[in-house]
Amino acid sequence: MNRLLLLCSILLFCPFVHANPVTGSSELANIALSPTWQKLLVYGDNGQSYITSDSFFFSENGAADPLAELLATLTAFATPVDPANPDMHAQCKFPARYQWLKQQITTHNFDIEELSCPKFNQFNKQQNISSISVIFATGFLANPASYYGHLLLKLNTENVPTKHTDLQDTAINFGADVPADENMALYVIKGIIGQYDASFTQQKYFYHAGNYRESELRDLWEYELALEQPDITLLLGHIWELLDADYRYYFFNRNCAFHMGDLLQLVLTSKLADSQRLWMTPQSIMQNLSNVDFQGQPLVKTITYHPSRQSRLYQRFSFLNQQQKDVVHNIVNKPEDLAGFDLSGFEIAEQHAIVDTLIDYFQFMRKEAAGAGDINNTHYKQAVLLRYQLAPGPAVVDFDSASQPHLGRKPSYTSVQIVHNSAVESYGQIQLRPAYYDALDAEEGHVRFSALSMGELVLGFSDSRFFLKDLSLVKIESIRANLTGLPGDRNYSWYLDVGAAQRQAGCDNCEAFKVNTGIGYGFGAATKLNVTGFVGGGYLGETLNSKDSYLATKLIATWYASQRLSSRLELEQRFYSDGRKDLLTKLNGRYALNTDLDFRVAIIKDDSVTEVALALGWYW
Amino acid sequence: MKYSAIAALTVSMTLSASAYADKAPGSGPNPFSDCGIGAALFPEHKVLAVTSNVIWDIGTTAVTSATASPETCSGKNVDAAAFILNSYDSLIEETARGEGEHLLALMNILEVTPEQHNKVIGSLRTEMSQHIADELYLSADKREKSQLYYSTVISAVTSA
Repeated sequence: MNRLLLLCSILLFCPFVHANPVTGSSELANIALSPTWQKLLVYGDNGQSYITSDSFFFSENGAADPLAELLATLTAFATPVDPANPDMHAQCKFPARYQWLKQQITTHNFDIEELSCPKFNQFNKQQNISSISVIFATGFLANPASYYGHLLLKLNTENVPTKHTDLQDTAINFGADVPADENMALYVIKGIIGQYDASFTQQKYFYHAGNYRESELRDLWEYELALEQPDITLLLGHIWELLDADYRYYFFNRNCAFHMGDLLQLVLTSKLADSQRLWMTPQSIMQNLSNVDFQGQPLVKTITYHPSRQSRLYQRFSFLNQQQKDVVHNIVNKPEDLAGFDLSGFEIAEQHAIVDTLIDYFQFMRKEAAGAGDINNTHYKQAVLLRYQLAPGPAVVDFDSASQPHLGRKPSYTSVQIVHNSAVESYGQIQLRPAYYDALDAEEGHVRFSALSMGELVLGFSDSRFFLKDLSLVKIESIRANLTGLPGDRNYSWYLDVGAAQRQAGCDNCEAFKVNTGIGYGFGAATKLNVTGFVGGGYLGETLNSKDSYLATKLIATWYASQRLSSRLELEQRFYSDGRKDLLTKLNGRYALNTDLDFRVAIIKDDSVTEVALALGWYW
Repeated sequence: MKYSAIAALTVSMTLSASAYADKAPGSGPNPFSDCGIGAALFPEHKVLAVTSNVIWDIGTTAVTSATASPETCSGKNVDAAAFILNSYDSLIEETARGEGEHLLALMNILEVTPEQHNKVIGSLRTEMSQHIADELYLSADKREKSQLYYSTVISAVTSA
């Protein structure tokens, strides 16, 4: 009621309003309450905009009052244009608001004259954008902000005046504005507690494609959306508006995944990004996208795989027959013979396949910055030169794209467990893992044999007690597999687990701080089996006492027996600084009952206790 | 001194391209040597724009290649130079194959007609195979290699 009175008061003092004030106020109030208007103002479910830039709003209260912002926007749209600088006019800075509002009201009644906006037209019309793709970059364990993957939008052009390829398209990115020399630990903490601004930026897609696929060795998945042209136009206008706007970045739930999903929701009725969730992963957005219909059709029109250099190497190597693989092995083992290597016994297409595999291999191996100091740079050059000496011809590009990221299970996991302990009474356990995966359930979009979770909690309970079994604030196992069997195929691994744990499984009142870390190297070469040895150290104690620190050796063997069945054996020998020794043995098995349900068995044994757990878990 | 052969080669290629200054693809200044390609790659960072002829880092920090550089240094040549620098390895590999998505994109940026592709790529392939075979090639950094590739492709386009 107060809002209506305010509206009437404002309208009475607005000389440009020719419409009946009461009718006008009613219409405007309805427009202000419209979901689309509030999406254009980037309002969250709490009625507050996620945008923190004052310049995004014309009204002082625009970040929380959609009606005030609507009135102020109409006033700004009616302001005379500076002919010398039309791009600074409100219509040109907020083309989506203008475009949408002119479908809701008679702009002439508000003295609004449509303007031409040179810069926006250049952004919009010259690119002639015919569709929009969501690009999913798989996780990258070298950068905390990219552990869970990343999302981009690609604006796909069609019928532009000059010929065009995907690489020339424009990409829209969302990320925290982090100083270039920011300390990594500070970066993580500030990212979690919301100390960074964030923004949408535009950049040619080839920058991202090169960086992700060649430098960071991350696969890209492109999901092209089946949007209609009016929706695309509205989205482009909104993207233009957002390029100058700041957000507040929160690593877990106001990240690239959430805001990309929120942006796309402008033209969708379904929710892609749930603001109530405490965490939001890019893979969740891809799963939601794949489940959404748009005007009776699936929203996702096509899915295209753009493999990384590493994935191309693995797939090209796997495509070779044994004779061709033997040649690759021979050359890799004696690369000084590469120059002038005689491949004439093979058909030309086979020669191409062999040399392309060698190019990928040496590219993967070399440290470019070392120049002539790294012999692999020489080998890479020789492999490329060998390709020049052959007749031109295409490379294999028909890569296996079966592991589409939306096909995987949901990211969060909860299980209930029954535990038999040799030292204490049997008890129950509840495990909660907000996201994302462990070695046994790493699948589409994850790093095989590896593990990644934050805030993973295991609570134990029985008739007589309720206790903390384990808390991992950060738990990462980055395990690299040598899938080609070629020497040097990078298989350096590392792990880090920080949080709290019981000193012994199931013990009473024995919670301790834990830090467990190490580096390792993988053995063997198989897509289904990985064996990695580690050396490391850590700490497990109630107080900071050096006697609770230890050095450790560790062996992990992970086996994916089938699509549903996986298992892992872990042996860790700890050498405490006070002379104690502790041998920990863990055997885990998992059977996937369906996509979002599994059954697990775990056996844990240390020097004094053996524990067996049966678990039923579901993904959500 | 160690880059003298490549530098000399680059200068001669650039001069060669400049001789065709009235033709579209090779016209205007060389973005590497005359404009400072950094002006295009770092439009919002004036210091970087000045120094990026020496320091090139177009990984995650790269910004758009939109043309905020001096007018004479904007346009397709700068776009091509930026694209080459960012996609160098893919380009030399695809040049060896005679085809590929990066090579096609470069032809598009330089507005090479489809009818001219084979001739331009064939010439580029021949020249680049000689450059890569040069002993000094390994001593050059990414910017120098990119500049050489740029000069070679501009020469191939203007000669087509």
